[in-house]
Amino acid sequence: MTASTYDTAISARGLTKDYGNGHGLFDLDLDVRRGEVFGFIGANGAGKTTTMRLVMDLIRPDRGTVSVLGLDSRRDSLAIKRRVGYLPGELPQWPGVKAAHIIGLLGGLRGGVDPQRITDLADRLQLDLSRRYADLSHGNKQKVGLIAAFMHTPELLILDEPTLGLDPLMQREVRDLVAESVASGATCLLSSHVLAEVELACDRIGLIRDGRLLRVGSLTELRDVRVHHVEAVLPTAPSSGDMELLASLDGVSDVTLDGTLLSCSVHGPVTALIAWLADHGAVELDSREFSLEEVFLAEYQPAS
Amino acid sequence: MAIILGTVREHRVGAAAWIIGGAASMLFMGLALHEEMASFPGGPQALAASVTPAAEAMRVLRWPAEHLETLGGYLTFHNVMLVSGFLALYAALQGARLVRGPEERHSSEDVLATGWSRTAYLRDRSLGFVAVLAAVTLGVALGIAWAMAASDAADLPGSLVTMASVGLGALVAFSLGVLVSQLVRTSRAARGISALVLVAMYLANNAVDADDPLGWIRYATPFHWVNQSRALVPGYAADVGAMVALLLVAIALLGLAAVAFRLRDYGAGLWSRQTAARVTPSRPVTVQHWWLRTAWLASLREHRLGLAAWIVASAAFAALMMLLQPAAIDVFEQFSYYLGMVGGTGSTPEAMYATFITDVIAPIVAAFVITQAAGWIADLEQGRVETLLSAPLSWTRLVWERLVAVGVGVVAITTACLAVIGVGSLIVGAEISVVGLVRVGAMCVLLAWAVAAIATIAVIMLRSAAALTVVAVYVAFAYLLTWMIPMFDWPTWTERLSIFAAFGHPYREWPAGGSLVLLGLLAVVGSLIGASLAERTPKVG
Repeated sequence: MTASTYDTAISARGLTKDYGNGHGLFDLDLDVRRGEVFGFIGANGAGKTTTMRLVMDLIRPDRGTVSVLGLDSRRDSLAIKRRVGYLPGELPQWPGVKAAHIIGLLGGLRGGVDPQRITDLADRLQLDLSRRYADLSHGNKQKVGLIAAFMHTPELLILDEPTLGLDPLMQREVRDLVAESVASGATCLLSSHVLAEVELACDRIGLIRDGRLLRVGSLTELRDVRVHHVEAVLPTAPSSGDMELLASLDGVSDVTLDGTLLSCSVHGPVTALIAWLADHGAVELDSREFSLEEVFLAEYQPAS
Repeated sequence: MAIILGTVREHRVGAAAWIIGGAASMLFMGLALHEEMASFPGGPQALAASVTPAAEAMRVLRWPAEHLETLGGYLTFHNVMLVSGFLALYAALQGARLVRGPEERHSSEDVLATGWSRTAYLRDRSLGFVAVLAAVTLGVALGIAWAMAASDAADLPGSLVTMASVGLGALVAFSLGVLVSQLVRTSRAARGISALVLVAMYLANNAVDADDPLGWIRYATPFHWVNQSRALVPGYAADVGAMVALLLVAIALLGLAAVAFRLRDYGAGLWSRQTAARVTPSRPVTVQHWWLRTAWLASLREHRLGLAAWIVASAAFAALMMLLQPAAIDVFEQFSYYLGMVGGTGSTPEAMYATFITDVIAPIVAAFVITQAAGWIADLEQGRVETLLSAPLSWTRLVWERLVAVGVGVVAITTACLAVIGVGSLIVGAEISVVGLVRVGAMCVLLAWAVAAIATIAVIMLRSAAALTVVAVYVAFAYLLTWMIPMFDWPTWTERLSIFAAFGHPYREWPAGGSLVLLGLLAVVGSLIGASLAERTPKVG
């Protein structure tokens, strides 16, 4: 076993699942390090759920491999699932049974789990396990899935949209559960559309679009590529030559002038822009960093 | 219009099955009766005279039996009345889920959120089903007309009137199902109540005479009014008053249902309270039990009420057949057709009758297996498979555990039927062979295992309701073959197409070695192939 095998909880190489018409997952190379929370971000149909199902051996790749906790995802599927907590992206329908039946069955198939752990999770998520599953709201059904994923204190959590349908307090509770699991040595791969939440929960983020992984980085790395939006009020409107000079500064783009209100975006260091504004006697300055969400949306802008 | 068409589309498979199955059964039964009437010693009158005592003894199943010497009379008694009961039951079940089914799946919220009123929604869904019912009625009517024409007794108007009346009766049953579903907590409860009411009405209408103290009960059942237009029976024609009455009752029931729909909470019945959501656990819940340690035990526990219903219904059928034995036993000596069905002569009438009723257990367990396969499809489509496989459980293991659960169900149903037949034989004083019953039990398990293996492969390969259709069509075809082969004296090689022919008549004797090998291969090799395919195919999506 190589050193990297010990370091990575999930390692995918050339992972491809082609559903035709450009749908699926293509040539995914991904490493999720042990002990980190990795956030998978992408629009609907981008390939997040497909990736997670491939990791869980629920679907089979057309090519490529995945190793999970140092084991082969296909050959060692059962051994992997004993050590993994999985929350599917789509809530199951389960007519005629109580929430307790589902948790009991999934716990039973694991050979039994600590009943106190189930009670604690139900208390923290404020879920009444004696209620019929079909009568539960979307959020409460999600809680059943979360209890099933966390109840056996797994080494690896694979959570597809874990906070979907939950209220803000419960979202925070889930983030706390993830953080506690990771503090205890677990690893977490989660997907989400809620980027602000990913910022709060994840150490690293992977951005996926049309089945292809566009970018992977830590939050710090992604912050480095962030853009500042700057607005400044000048005493007088600058000349066209000054405006050309501004537009030519390194990292400056989208320059507009509305009377004496100047707006622009700055990619990277702001030193040159600050100097230019000082030279022109700026009287007011407002700078706002683009959120991860805006970066994400920018990535998803149509090519045109 | 979109809702109407959507409802029609939803029922297209069921409608096709009714049309094909109903028309085929009418045609084949008509042809068989025509042949029997021609060959019966003494002709049709003698045949009617010999059948009437048995018909009277079994009147609870279908009644009245009139003009059995004519094809129209016999076909009405033998087929149309049963179709009337079963079509009404089908319609009531569909009515019970018409509105509440989509509500429970949360698929009607979007429609109602567009500003479409509840009344309009119920109206359009009902119109969609009425269109389905009309198609079924017409299809079966044409099947009857074909049977009559092929038997030199063409009567298209009579066929159409007869089935129009049956269709109106089914419409009343459908409306009853819709109304009940608006009142009770779940569509499941509505289905149960509607089915019970319908079956009770059907049996009461057959069992009670007009001059009995409880004779008025007949007038409260749709079946009495349906029977007024049995236009294939000499002396009867369309009873417009009865048909209009059925239509008005159906409209009134749907009107009441619409009112209830407007008054009740979405997702709850008018007479049931919605359970208030509790924020915190109100009491400690024991989650882990021994029966949740394996998927097959959990499945049996989850579906225990359904299995109990199968056991009770099958045993009740067996009990009824056994209690009718003294009256019906003579039929097996007189009708060459029935003789053919139980493997010919060579044994006592009692043994032939026991062979006949134990042979019927085979399609019962096959139908049970198909309903279980329907559950497997639902598991896949509703995300339960993905959830189960998130635990350390392989797809292959899940397939095996499902087969075990089906096997336990089949053993329970078969045992209940055989036990009832054994006890029934003591009550009616008939001889019964314990060894024969054991053979039947063993063969039922083998047959069910074979059907389950075929269903497993179909479900894994097709992963949709199409799998169920394939298996159900084959099983129905295979069973029909066992009726048609003796009916039309088809060559013996045609038996090889039917899994039920391989089942044989185990009460009398073990099937031929080749049949046993065939069923065994289907069961064992089919299961192995199913498990092997499971390992290689996707579990979701």
